[in-house]
Amino acid sequence: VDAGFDTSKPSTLTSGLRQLSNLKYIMPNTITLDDVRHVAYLARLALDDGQILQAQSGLNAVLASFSALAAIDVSGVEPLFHPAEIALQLRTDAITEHDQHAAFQAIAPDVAGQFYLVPQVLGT
Amino acid sequence: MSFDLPYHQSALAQGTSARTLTERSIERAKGAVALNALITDNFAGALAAAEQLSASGPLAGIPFAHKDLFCTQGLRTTAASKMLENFVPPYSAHIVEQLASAGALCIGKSNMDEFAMGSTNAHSYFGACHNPWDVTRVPGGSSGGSAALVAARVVPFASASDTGGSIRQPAAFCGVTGIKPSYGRVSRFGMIAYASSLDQAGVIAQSAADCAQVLQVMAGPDVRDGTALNAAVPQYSNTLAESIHGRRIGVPKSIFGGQFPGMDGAVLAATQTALRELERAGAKLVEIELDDLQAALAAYYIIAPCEASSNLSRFDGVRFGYRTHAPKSLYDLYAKSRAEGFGAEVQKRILLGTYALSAGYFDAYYLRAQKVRRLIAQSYARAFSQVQLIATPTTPTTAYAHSEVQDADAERAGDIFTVAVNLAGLPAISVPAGFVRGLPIGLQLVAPALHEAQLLNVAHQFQLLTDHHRQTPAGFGASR
Repeated sequence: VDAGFDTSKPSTLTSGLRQLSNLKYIMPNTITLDDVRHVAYLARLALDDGQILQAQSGLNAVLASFSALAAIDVSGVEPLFHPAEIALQLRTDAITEHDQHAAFQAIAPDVAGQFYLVPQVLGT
Repeated sequence: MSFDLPYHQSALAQGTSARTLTERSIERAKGAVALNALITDNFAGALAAAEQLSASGPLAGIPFAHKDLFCTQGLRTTAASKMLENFVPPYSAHIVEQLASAGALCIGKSNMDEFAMGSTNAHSYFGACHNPWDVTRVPGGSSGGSAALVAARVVPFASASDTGGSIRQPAAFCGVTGIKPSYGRVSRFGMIAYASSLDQAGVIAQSAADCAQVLQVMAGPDVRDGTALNAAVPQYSNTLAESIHGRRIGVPKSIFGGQFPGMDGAVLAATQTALRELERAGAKLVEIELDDLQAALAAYYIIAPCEASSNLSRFDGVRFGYRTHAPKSLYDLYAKSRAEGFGAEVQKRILLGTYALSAGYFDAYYLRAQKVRRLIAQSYARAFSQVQLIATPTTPTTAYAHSEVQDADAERAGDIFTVAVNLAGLPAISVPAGFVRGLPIGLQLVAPALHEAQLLNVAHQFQLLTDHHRQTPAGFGASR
């Protein structure tokens, strides 16, 4: 695997350090249990210890398969975030939506008046 | 009787009522209930609509099914998830409106992998769907229910969606025809999002000619989807009969050279036989380079989960969908609702996407994958400077046994020929191309963006020379 070191240019301390830190970016990492717990927190998924362990092995298996990416030279390539590189459509600046709050609230788990109810956040 | 679109249209022309045709379709659905291909039936709704049918639309009186990913106002839409088990949308998807205006009658919502994440239909909260050719095998996914319903001759067509092969792969596994249009050709409004830069709605039917009629109704601009292309839709049926003499079709050396990892030799040989039929129709096969497929697979399995982790953040237990019982805090409400509402595969992809987008890893995974994506698009562009279409097997193998689907690596590897097409936003079709050990296989044709007419034309000419798409699985034929 090309670890991102550019040997064609003279190394400096700064570029060397940057290249060292690039190692983390290029080499697929192994996810630790703490990583999985942190990611589950960010993803708002309440997982128990068994699920965390299972997720760790599943994620590490997938990440290992990403080594195919590290072998590709992407220097100078612009990312392609969207297949159709087009400007978004514009439309007339006019109201097109009508008030449907009753229809939307009818399918909500818990409402009161025009509000959606959630557990108390302040003063707890 | 083939129960395809012409069968239904000629029956209507000869005086059979839409209600009778719908009743027959419902009867076949009941006979195929063991396939578990429908999550929610709309039998009463379809019969009522048949009674009130006044439109003389292009699909007036034709029964069909919607993949349960498309919002249907007043009819439960689950995305095969516990999260949306009781979700009745307050509005309909664009293609739901289009097909209703054309007079088509929706008899139900088809089974799928949860939130369209999977290639087996095993990841459904409502249970696995089965392949009509061999019920011990998967129908493919994620649009497994749509493909199984068409293969079992329950309906002549079904809507479907394709993020990395979810129309083409189940079409191949079930011996039916499936077209994934160019990105933006069909509005995504009201289609529950998985990966927004890859998702595209399309059709599964028996033949390319039937796909052409249905795509005609679905395709076109829509102001409610900012990425729907504002381009005129050609009359697809008008060019089906064109000769393909001299048409240049690219065959990637990396696949047809015989050394492709994981490629079933018998599937490759059957695909080569199918290519000879295209030559018989006058097409010229040209060897091309298309070497980035392994990288495309890796890029896809980064980009799609990243987009999914963002798209699925809307399911929080507050405004709609599943909510956990007695949450202790707002965080608890979010985290428990999502952990209890999403299945294992969906959670895995959300975690993967969240990880790849998190601080410190964004450049290594997401950004790098998007750069590889550009290389893949450029690779296709180079190929299309030499040829008009590219042909590959749709899948490296035939349908897997249910007992084999625990192997997540193998499931991902099965998407190798389909995902690159989505990364580049191109249109592609899978046509039945033969049988291997009694199971159907598909030939995939890929075209430059917005060249669906050409795909349908070549696929139709292929189907004039072959009868693979006319084969019906045992137990689902005319006698039923």
